[in-house]
Amino acid sequence: MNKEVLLNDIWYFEQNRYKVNLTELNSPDTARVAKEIFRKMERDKDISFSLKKRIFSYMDLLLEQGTIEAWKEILLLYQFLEKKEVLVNEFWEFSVLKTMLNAFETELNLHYKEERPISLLKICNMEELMETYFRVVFLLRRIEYDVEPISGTLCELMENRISPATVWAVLKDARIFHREKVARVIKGWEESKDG
Amino acid sequence: MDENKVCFIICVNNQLFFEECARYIQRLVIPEGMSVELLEISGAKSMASGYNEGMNSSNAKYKIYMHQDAFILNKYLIRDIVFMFKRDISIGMVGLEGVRNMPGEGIMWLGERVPGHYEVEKDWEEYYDDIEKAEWEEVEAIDGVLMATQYDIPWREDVFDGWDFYDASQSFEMRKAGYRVVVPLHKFFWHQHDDKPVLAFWDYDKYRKKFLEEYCSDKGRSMITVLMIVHNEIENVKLSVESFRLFADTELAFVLVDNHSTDGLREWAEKQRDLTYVLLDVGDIGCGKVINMVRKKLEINTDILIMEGPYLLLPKCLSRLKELLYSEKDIGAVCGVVCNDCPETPMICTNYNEAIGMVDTEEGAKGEYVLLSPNSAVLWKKDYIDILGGFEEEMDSTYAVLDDYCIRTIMSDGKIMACSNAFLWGIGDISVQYIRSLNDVRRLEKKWGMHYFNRHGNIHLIQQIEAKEEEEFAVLEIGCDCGVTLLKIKNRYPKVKIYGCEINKMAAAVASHVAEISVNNIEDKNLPFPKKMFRHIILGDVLEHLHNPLEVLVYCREFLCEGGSVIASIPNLMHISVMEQLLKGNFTYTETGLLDKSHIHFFTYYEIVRMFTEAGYHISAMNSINVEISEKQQRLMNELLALEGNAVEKWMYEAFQYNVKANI
Repeated sequence: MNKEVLLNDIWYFEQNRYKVNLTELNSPDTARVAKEIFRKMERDKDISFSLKKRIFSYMDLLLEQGTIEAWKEILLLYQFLEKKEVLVNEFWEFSVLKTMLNAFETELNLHYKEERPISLLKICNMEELMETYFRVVFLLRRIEYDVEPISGTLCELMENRISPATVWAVLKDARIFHREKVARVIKGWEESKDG
Repeated sequence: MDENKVCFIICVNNQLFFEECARYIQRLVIPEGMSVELLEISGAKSMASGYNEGMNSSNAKYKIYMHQDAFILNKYLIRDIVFMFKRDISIGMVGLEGVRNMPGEGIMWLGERVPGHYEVEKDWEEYYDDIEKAEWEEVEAIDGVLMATQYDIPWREDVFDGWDFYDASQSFEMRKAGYRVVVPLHKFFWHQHDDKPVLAFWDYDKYRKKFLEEYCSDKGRSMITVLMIVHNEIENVKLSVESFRLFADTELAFVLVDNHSTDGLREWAEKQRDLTYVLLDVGDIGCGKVINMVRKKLEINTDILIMEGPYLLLPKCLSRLKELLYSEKDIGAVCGVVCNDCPETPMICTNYNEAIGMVDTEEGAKGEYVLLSPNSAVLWKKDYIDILGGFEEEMDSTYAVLDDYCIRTIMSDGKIMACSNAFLWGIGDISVQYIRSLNDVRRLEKKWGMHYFNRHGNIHLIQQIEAKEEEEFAVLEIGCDCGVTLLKIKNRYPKVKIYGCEINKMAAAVASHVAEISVNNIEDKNLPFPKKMFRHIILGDVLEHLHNPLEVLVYCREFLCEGGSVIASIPNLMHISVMEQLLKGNFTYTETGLLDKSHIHFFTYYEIVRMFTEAGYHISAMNSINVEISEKQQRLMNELLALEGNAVEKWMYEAFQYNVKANI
């Protein structure tokens, strides 16, 4: 899998997909819009899954490199897909990827400014990336609902070498209702970590 | 079966999620004396098969089927759910989210949600009081995130072999088994779910259709697609669309088919987000072809309300049409009443606003059987469209295409109904909508092998019947054509037995779907019915076509019961329009009317009286149908009357047709 082949696949997908304006989801005629989406999903199913598999294979290759350049390449590819509205609204994995790319950008800035290590470079493939995201969500939710003592949760964050940048990015995007409560805990953790 | 055991059943394909889910289950408060089991179902082929596997392998009375990515926040969940089950044994299933009434499209999230709005909880302990008042609401279906049961009903893995609609299916199965499905009216989230919602509907539509087929096909709850065909009537179309926005009371999709308008309709329609605009740019094509093309292109798979030109909708119209459409399985189509163009309308009003106020919104749908739609706004049942296939593409006008489809429906043992309290208001030139071009008439005649496509029945003859609504009697119509008059009699007298005699085999074939029909020539005198069987024998515009009408009238006497009567309509040769031409030396036969080329005998008032008297009848009632007479004809009548003195009266020239009731 190389970039040229992948771009060609994306171009092919764009030519063949069923066009529906997903922004119309806010339309008062939800039933009609929903049916349009169903129609799109039904028609595009095979080519969508096939393209997603190819994109993820390519991203796996990049992540395996564990370099800043490889992550930048993933960032560019994601932005390209987002601009073209290719698959990013159809597969939840892209939504997770976006959050993790935000985390990467924060880590990269800190790396350039303060020479901090980039924790995300240790992630080897997309599956691991997704797992990291959900692990963080689950830990934040445990804080949110007092599921276990906070010390245990924070300890698990440390054990999994999750950076504060990742935690903040996930907290921003995940379905956490008591964001302020969780943010207070994370801020305390970050300060004690830095201290 | 362990009455004190709760089993959590979870289909798992991600261990991380399952472990987190289990963490929340392990934190639940277990009521005293109860035990909890957690079943992890891995490698399930479908949600339904996985749940069946779990159901069959646990002896717990209470089972909670839930998603691996749902995290229970209410630590008193077991107590609360078991409490509900014990308090009301008719509750079969409890969910955390549900829909009060399943929308016609089968899309749960388009319906009214229960419990609706949540408050974001602050503390675990607040859950303790959340269900203190023990209120819950009955729903038609619940979401699959968490489904708790106290009775084991098999999951329909035979139909729902994927990951969608197993939840709605199980809700309907539960209710089919006689149990209630409820959702507790909890104020706080009892669970957390869906971290990254996306439009994951890859197979949703496939299973939605299966669901509708399995549970909703006979309920009349599927969506209506309104298919309005228009040309250059932008202002009327705008009004029409607005009326649908105001008064549509069923789920619908509005499709505006623009037959090449040039008045700016396209620019306006393309900006309307709640309608689908279809521009016909393939040249001049017939209505049947248009409907077929649009159905195929938009993949319309619902009931369709086909409308030629814009109509204004009145309150309750759509729901009544739909109610009537699904009141019987065999009803294939229902039409409404265009109240400003229907002589028999129960609503006499002068404008649309007045009509809106006059609709009685409380009453249910009322209807009667018809053969052909009286207007070009007809709601067709999807099942019948599936059976009959495409609309006739050889005909141009909507009216002809709909007539053809009505006949096809009837020939397929379907029924057509007119809903007498589903009102529309015609705008624009309504009369144009009812025109079948001569070409279309020829095509209809050729296709069906018959000449008459009567839609109204002869009301003047029916009015001669004197009977109570619930009375049982038998009526025979000679020359019944497709049976429209007989059908109208049946509508008026539900217990009447209707019989027909028709010489045209195709017309008889259509009529045989509404009455018992004998295919023969009455002059052959071989009616297959018992003697003295009928209270009335109807001869509507028949006697003038016979070689020996007197003999037929004598023959008919054998089939009339005591006190029975012949009811006949006969054209009047003496009508002033005929006299006018005769004085000019013309007696030219025409396609239809008084000098119809197929008339063999001609009658005047005196001839009619003589014939019936000679046949042994006494005329008990006779009236005439008149048509408009010109001033010139008026003058001519006066002059003719002056010539003849007392032998002739003016009404004898005015009568276009006589209606006779003659008893034996």
